[in-house]
Amino acid sequence: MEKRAKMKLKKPIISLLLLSALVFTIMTINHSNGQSSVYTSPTYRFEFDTHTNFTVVSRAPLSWKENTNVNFNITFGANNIESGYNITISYVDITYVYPDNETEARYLHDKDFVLNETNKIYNINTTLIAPTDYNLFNISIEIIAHSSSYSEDTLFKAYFPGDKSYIQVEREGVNPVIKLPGFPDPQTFIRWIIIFLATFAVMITPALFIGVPKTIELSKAAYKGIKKSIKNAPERKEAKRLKKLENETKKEEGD
Amino acid sequence: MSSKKPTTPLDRSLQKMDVLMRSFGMRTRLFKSQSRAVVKGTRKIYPYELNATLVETARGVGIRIRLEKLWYSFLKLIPFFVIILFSILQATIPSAGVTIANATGVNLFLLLLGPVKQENLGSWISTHGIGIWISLPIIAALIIGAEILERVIRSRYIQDRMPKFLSGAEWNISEPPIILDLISSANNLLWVLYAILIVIFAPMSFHEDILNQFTTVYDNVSIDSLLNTTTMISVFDIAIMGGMMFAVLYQSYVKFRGNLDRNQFRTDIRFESNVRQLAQAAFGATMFSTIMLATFYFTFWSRITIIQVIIFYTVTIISSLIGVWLYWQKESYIFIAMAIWFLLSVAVMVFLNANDPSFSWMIICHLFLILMSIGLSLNRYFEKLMVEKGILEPSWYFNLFPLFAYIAAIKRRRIRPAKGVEKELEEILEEDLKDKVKIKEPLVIDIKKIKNKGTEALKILEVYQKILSLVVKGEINIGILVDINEVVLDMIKENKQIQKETEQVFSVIDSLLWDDDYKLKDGKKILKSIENIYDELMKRR
Repeated sequence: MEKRAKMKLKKPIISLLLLSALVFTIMTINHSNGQSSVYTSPTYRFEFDTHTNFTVVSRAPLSWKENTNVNFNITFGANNIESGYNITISYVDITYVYPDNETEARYLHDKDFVLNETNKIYNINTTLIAPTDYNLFNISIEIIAHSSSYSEDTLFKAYFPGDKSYIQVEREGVNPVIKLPGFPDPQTFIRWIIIFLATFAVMITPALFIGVPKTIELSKAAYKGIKKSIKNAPERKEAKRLKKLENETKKEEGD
Repeated sequence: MSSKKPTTPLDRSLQKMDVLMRSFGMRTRLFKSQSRAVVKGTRKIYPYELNATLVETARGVGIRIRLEKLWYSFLKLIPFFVIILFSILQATIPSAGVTIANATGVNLFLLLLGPVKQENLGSWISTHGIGIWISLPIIAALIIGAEILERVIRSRYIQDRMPKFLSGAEWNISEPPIILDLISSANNLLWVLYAILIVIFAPMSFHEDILNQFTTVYDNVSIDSLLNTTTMISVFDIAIMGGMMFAVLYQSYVKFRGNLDRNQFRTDIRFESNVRQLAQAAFGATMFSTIMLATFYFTFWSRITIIQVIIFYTVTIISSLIGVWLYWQKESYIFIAMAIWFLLSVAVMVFLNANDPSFSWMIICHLFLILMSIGLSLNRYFEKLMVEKGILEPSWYFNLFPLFAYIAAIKRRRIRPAKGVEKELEEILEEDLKDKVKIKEPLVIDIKKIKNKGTEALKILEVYQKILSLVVKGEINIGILVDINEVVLDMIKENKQIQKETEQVFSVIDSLLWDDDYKLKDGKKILKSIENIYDELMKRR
């Protein structure tokens, strides 16, 4: 062909930059996608009495990709605590609730923390992984707390998403678990290999046709070269010279 | 070739026929006697021959073109015949397959004709046996028909154009449509892909016990799902390999024809050749995938779904387009692309295999099929050898056993390549023009040259000059010479014996005047007969 498209990249550095820019944008788009669809649950208001009450708000995406970490954020607010009072939260337990099954504990926060007027907001950030066996679930947040006015431990329950029924699990393709197949039974494999080799041999006959005479030619040339080098070897030359000299001296003697 | 100036009309025609045949991509051999000449042109590596017989008559040179050794085309039917034979055997004695499987472990029928579930052996034959017996002969007829049609068209072209060409009229090379070439060599590709399918489906044709062991190794996968997955992946394999190899074949033919006729090639480029070539490749790939589907549906792909058929067509067309584009970059990229497909598909299938163990077989098989793409790429080195031998003809490409290509390669003799034909053609046309000018110049005879041709040569010419002076007074030129000869023949038409002698003498004089290599034989006899003619003419005055 006379006319061929020339698609060679002329400036490799520029192309490298373009390529990295492309990869970077794809990565950032992917990253922001994960963060954009964060859903905020309705505010749950719990109270011990009029002096001590607190709110619970949780945030997370409504659809979770499987096998990826999802940020789950719970905010405890202490808006209506009067001065001198406080609330101590001793347990935060996050559990998954499935449509037709019992709950399953996933996360436990057992660090005590105190909410009072000066300490208005407390955040818990956790990373959760979607359940493997269920496609729909929601999360219940169990809080055990007591206050300065009411010292007995009390259980409160908040939910995520709360006003919507369930979180969805997005399953993309399959589980990327590498499970290499074992080689089949050797008997089968050997038979198949024979069939494969026969077909392969037929397919490469043109190449064999070129290859065999060429190698013969090369080996012949090599053989000739070796012969020549043996002929011209220094010891042999020396021996020849000596023989010649001997003959000459014999001739002279004869004369 | 051009240094030697042809003299007699027969020589001139011979040379022109030689050039004309070579311009059609044939290699030629020339045979010449005094009044007859034969030009043998072999176009294909298959020994198919065009024989042009040229005969010199009183009215000019007659031409007859004949197709010979056409029966070699029918050798292409052998694989079709083998497959049909086996399917007939399977239909008549189905138990033979099981017997073979018991003895060797491989059911030969299933290996060659495609796998089926072992229990359904009987029912499968009744449903698909007739299909294969109808479709294979149709495809075989199509392929052989295309090849023969192509040759007939070529011989017609030469027969029709030759008189114009001899008279020096302008003409251009015209070739039968490229699609005929492609259909006839699609045969080679079809059987390469058939062989690959045999390799892919081989485990399914093993004896039942062996097959059961095979499936237990792969997480107890059911034979049904194993066959379905294997069919699906093989559809992709065949589509990609078929499309890409078709692109190689198509591009080789375009290159070959471009080599034959540069003018044609130039016009191709003017017509936005790139787009046109892609469109033609897509069209050809559609045709080829139809041929493949018609063959494989009745053998390996009996359980193919309509969606897989659509996938097969699309992937074949797309891969042929990519193949053409890759060929423009570098031919070897196509084979690299095939290897990359096998490797990447293995990577994807390993992941798919986590949920579905039926991919297990194709993962292993693909790792081996990479070697196939390397083996196929070795064809290129053979092509180089063929080009060295002066054979650009790509019809042997991807042939499983290119016997005639071997024969052509073994012949050490270097064959004149068809590359320089246009130049020779131009030279001949120029020569024709020069000759037309020369006709009107006075005739000058180089006596030295004529003396070398024989002892009596000069004397013969002297007598001939006397005869000429009887008919014409003044200067003589080549144009008149022919007329004078006719007048002389007319004058002595009553004496039949002398007229016969005269014809012989004139042809000798023709050679004496124009043929540099001519050596005079029986000079005395001719001298005597020309003297007789002179006497006869003197009597009639």
